[in-house]
Amino acid sequence: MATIFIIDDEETIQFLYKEGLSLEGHKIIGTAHNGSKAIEDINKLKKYPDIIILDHRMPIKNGLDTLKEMKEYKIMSKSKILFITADPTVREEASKLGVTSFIQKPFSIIKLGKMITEIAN
Amino acid sequence: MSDKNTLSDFEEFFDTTPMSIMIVQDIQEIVYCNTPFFTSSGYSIDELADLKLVNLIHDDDKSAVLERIKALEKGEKPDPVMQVRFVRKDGTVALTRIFTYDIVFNGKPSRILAGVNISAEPLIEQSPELVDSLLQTLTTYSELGFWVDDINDHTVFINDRLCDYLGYSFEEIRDKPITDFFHPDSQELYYQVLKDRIEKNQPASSYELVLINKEGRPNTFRVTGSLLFDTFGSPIGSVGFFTNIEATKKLSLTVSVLNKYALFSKFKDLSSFWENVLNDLSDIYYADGGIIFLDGEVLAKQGEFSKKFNPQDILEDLAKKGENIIHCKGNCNHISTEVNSATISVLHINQLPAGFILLISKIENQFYPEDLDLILAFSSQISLNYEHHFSFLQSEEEREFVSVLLDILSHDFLNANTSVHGYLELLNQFVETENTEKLKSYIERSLSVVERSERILQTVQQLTKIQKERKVRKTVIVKPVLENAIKVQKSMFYDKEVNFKVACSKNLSIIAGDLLQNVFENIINNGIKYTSSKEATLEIVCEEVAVGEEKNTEIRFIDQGMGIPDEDKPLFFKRLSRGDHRFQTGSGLGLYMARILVNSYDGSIRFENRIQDDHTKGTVVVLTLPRG
Repeated sequence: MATIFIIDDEETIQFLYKEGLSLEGHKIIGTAHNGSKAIEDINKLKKYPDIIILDHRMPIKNGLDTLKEMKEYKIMSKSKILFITADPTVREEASKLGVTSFIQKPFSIIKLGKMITEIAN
Repeated sequence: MSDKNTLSDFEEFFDTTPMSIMIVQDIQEIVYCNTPFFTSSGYSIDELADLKLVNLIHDDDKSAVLERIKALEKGEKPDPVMQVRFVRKDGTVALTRIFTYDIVFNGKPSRILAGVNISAEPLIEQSPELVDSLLQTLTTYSELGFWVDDINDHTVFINDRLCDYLGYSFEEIRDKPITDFFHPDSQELYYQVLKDRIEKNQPASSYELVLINKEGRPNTFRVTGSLLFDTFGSPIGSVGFFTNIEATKKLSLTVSVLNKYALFSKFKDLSSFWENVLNDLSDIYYADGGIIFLDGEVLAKQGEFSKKFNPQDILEDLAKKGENIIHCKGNCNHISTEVNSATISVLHINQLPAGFILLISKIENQFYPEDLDLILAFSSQISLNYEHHFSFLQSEEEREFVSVLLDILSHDFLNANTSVHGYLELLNQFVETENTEKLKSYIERSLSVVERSERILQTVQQLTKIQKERKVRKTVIVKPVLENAIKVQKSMFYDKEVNFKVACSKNLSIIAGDLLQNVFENIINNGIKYTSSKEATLEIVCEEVAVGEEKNTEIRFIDQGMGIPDEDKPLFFKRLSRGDHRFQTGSGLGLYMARILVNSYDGSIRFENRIQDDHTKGTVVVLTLPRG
């Protein structure tokens, strides 16, 4: 079981993560609609999540910019990042910024749940 | 000069040179003079033996020479070239330029002075025939014009070549001020040159002058001019060598104007573009005015002349005859009674005659045959540049359109697919659990995503329609379009009570297209959607505004919704940067589409706060469109 924080601007997708990942026994400990709010909320948590699911395309601050800020706060040394996007061209930059896994849309929520179990273990 | 040589080695050479040569020792003791010096000065060897150098200098120049002697005594090195007046034995004066060199003579440090008489008097005092013959020889093979005038600007001499250029005989020009034949701008320049010659001690200079020939036609010359001095060093006139550069100047200016207008995108205001082109062309070809007619409109007009023609008729006539340029001189009454010469060169768009540039002049022979070639080349090239500019804009628009479509497909549809795929996987997991609440929730969310996809598809259809129709522009009465948009949007928000307050006069018109209602609907939709209470009020105010010569209509949509932070305001009109709270249920393209459409109508769209400095009290969408 892993604790997960979801950063995605679409409520429908957030709900899908909650429902789908709970099937594998993972626990969603927080959600945010954009990167700025997410960093603020994560830094307030008593314990950092095991996994952060980060969508790339979001208003105000996109996934790559959020990653850069997370690096400054050293969040990546405490949590593993799953970077999710439909755009394969940002893969290299995301990898350089230290993401654990790069997930390209569309994906299977069931397979994602299993993948998180493997990463968490 | 080496100390091994003796004077006799050089004496023969010194005597054959036209320069006067003198050797001095101990600063000013004269120890040698050559034959030309004796001949010119009138002194004998014995007489010179009793004289020092300074005794030969004109009183007015003595102080300068004594200064120089002092400097030499101190071991300083003054300028080796000097200009002084030498006084001959008979009292006459020779303005002389002297070049000095240090040498060793008879084993002693010495200075050799070589002098040239630079007085202009010998030339001026000669008979005109002799001067003419000399100057014709000087200028015949170089195509140079040659003009000598006295200190009062009266012509003393002008050679045949310059007479030919001007169309006057020498007798017609003699004694007249040279400036009588100048273009007014050149008169000013010439006086400045004369002033600089005296005040800044610049006896020679090179400059451009425009001379007006007998027919009144201007010609540009590159002039190298110099003052002429009398033996006392006082200016007595000036001389100028004239090279006709009219053709090369026009060529160079025409190319430079083409370069200037090559990138249309540099000209933010295209309305003044053709005015600038016409002004520049008129300046180059000394036209009194003209017009530029393109796509059925007179885009630029310069000069006062009574127009006796219909531009469209002229264009049709040119197209029928298949001519690219026509030129009239003398009888140009069909253009205007005040016009004595004119050129009309065709502007082609998509290889078809679409307009023309007309240049006119009161002078009968204003335009040379080579001018016509240049004007034609200019018209062809500027048409091509103009055409390329619009092709470029169109391709940019199409690129943006394709990019938006690809973005919608790659992002919005992939997101929708990911959601539906996920919910179907969950349904598959739970289908046998009989947890109907969960199953229902997954089905409802899937339906919501599919509905959103449908809305996105509708938006794509709208975008395609915009792409096709946005270029169609016409005068539109605002009020009925606004009322239709309100009616449609009211029906979409059946669960909300929406109050509209509209202040828009009945006949107010703007320049827009068929999709104007779409713009209004998008703005109204946003205003209502983001008013969180069940009751929404939207105020719409139309008013005519003018900034300078630009007459516009402003339509202000004032809502009392949640407002937009100032830093996020510009993001709303971009496709890829959405404001967070306004995207959840829509396609995110509403205001982007409104912006694309408004821009295509030469208008603009922006946000303001309803209450200044408080974005939370509602938003004003300000739409500015050209007045109809």
